[in-house]
Amino acid sequence: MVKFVVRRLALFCVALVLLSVVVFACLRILPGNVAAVMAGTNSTPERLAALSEQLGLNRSYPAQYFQWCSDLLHGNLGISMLTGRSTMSQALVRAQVTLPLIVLGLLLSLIIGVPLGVLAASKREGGLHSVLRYVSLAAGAVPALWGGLLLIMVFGKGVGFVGILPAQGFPDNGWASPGQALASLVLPALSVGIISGAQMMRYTQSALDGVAESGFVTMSMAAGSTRARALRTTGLRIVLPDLISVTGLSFAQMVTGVLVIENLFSLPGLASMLVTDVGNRDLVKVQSELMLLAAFFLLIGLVTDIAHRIADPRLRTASAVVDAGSGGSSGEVGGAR
Amino acid sequence: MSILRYIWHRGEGRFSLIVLGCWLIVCALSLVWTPQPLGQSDGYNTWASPSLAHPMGTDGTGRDMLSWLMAGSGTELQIVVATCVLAALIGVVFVSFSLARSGLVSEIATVITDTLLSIPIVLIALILAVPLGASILVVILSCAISYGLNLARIAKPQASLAATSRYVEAARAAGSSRWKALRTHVLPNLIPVFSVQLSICAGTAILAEAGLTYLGIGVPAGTASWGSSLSSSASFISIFPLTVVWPGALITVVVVALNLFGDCLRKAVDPVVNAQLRASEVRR
Amino acid sequence: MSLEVSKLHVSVGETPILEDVSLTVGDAERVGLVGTSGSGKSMLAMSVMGLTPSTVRVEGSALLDGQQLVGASPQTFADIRGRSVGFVFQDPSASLSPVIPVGRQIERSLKRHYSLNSKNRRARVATMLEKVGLSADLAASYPHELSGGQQQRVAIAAALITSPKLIIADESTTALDAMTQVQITRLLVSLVDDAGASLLFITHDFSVLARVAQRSYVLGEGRVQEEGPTQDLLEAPQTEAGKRLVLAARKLTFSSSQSDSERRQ
Repeated sequence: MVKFVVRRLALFCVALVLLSVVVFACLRILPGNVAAVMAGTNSTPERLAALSEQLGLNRSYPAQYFQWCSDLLHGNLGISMLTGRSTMSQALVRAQVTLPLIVLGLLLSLIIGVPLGVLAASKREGGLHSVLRYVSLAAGAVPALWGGLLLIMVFGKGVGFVGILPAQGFPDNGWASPGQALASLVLPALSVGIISGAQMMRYTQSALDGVAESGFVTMSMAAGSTRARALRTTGLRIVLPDLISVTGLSFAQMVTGVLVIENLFSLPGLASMLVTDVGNRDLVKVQSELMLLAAFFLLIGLVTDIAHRIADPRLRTASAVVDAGSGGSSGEVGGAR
Repeated sequence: MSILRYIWHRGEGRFSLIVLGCWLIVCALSLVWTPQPLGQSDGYNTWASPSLAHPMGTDGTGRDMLSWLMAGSGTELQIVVATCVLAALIGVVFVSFSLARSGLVSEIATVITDTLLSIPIVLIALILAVPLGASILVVILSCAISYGLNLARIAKPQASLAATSRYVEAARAAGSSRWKALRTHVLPNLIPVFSVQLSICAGTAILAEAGLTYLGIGVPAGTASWGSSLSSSASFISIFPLTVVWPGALITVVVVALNLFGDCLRKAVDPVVNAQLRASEVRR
Repeated sequence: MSLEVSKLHVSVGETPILEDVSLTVGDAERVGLVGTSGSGKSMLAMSVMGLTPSTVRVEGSALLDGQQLVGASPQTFADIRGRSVGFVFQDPSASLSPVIPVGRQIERSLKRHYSLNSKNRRARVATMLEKVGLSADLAASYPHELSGGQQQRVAIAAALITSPKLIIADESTTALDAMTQVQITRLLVSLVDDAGASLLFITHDFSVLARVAQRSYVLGEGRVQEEGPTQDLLEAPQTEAGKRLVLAARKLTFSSSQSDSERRQ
């Protein structure tokens, strides 16, 4: 286990370096001079030179890259050229909206998806089964934007049929008024959580269907459980490692939806900041922001993988980074040569 | 063909084939005819209710919703086809690498597939959007990269089973090169997995297009797409909800159809997959 | 505890699996049920105890100490299983959950049916583990850390921890090698006798049956072909199905090294 964590950590660092190179390169293959893009089309040559000097753009690419990396490592994400504010502090303020939204959405998706998935798996036929199946199919296929719009149409204050929840904005003083802040996140989190929950439900069901006829569930029934209970206890425990992995993945999958929903509900989160900065080509800022986010998601991946290991005792003793299921494959091909 | 017939004979499969068929027909039709010319907007007639002239009403600039959705179906098809082809390519490349003889190459392939998997599509799109600006290419590339890596991860166990099967060993013993063995014996084994996954990817690509376009880093303004139709009416939800219903419902129906198609395809090819898996498992 | 099955019909859709099967297991009696694979012998035990999926239709009568089991509710079945009836299945590696320590799997039926505190349960598990010839420390280990024989001992411990009065052993020794098979069979028989329980021993291997059951039923093509004292059946089978099974058992005994690999497949 320790060996696995160490290897996985090393992998995390390698991926981080790789990504930083990719992000850096992407922003340098931009047609035209970075400073020219940032300074705007009608700026004087003197101003361009000054900006290049200030950003260190006169130096070689490797030198720029290493300067950027060392700044990142010191927590210095640069200062926005357009607003003059520190990127880090701005990102942190924005993250206070986005992060709770993601976490709430994920919680909702688990609360909706897992129990319904178990229910669908334990009722193998009949009306309820088909209803659950079609609802999850349709709900999982809704574009986040449209789902949010429909929710506003129903529950949005001022516009909806049962206008009970705020549909726009976030309290100006943020989490200082927790009740209001939470209320303004309910509809956005629902929009994201229902869609992701439908997918989670389909996954839970198909994973449980895979073990429903297995000896593990029969054995649990033989000890005195009904089929539904055996699925709920033994079955769910067996598929838990896979559910953890899927949860980690849906974390990443949800993000597009989260950013869309933030815009739709006019929440002052990371979405508007990122989109504005990309649109403005505020390159120094974009570069650091994207790197920060990428690192965050790599970290989520790392945590997911370790949690997956802990949940599956068969893997705890193994040290390979790859899953046991697909594991050893490269070694086997090597051995077959 | 027999697979299509199998799908056609299941209720859900028939639904998916009909929807996908209609999509293709509308695509072809929109190249030569739309109810209203795309460029024409009826400035005095914004947010119109459905009528004979505008069967689905008009949006906030008086453009005919039906015409724009029809034209958008072509853009959507381009995105889906290009994404699937590219994703399949990326998937094949990474699967091949992960089966490579050199431990380092396969390790690197695994590192890339396993770690980049946790990077969201929208982040890839944002990175790409900086040099490319809002363009269809951003949607296609970001989806293809993300799904391609996912494909490689899903197909890998099966690929390595096939790679250690007796066919490959026999072929190798008979003197064919590694690459040839891979091409003739391993990759054909992956077609079922790939086709099922790609039909699901197609649905997700349509959803991603809608999201990215709304964020302003997808299909550029002025180009017809379902996502742009949806976002153009999204900002005015309180004014006229009915127009907003169409693009969203359309996307949902098509994505459901693609998912059902994938489900039926999985059932159709499953026995084959299992037989092949079993055959190679005996060898182990 | 006695089990009386009479005129049992089991079918999946339109396909009959068992037709007109009658069988009795008397109080503290050890009865064998032998048949080739596909003869429906496992289905018999599973359907009578409510372990089959709802797509399987069961008709006829099955009385457990007078209680009608055919058509009973899922909850009734759950109350019986693990308390009055214990099960030992074929392949322990496919029935012991890979992600739960074996101790917790052994105490599962205790937990379902009796209100004991965890300390008491642990003590019982430790005693039970020693009874089946394992060290009590093994309670904390996972199935994959044990050998096949140890796993089957764990499965027996799990079946017997609540001292049920009827044990159904479904091909319980099939997945094991010849030596372990003998040990496990002996262990099972001695534990069943000590507890004064009845045993329904299901197998395709007549040679094992001789050590276990006083009386046996031969099942073939979904029907009971023959029944009688095991010894008589072994020495002079009357029906085709019986003869074939006895012949196969003799071959197995004579070439046991070969038979191991065959049986495992």
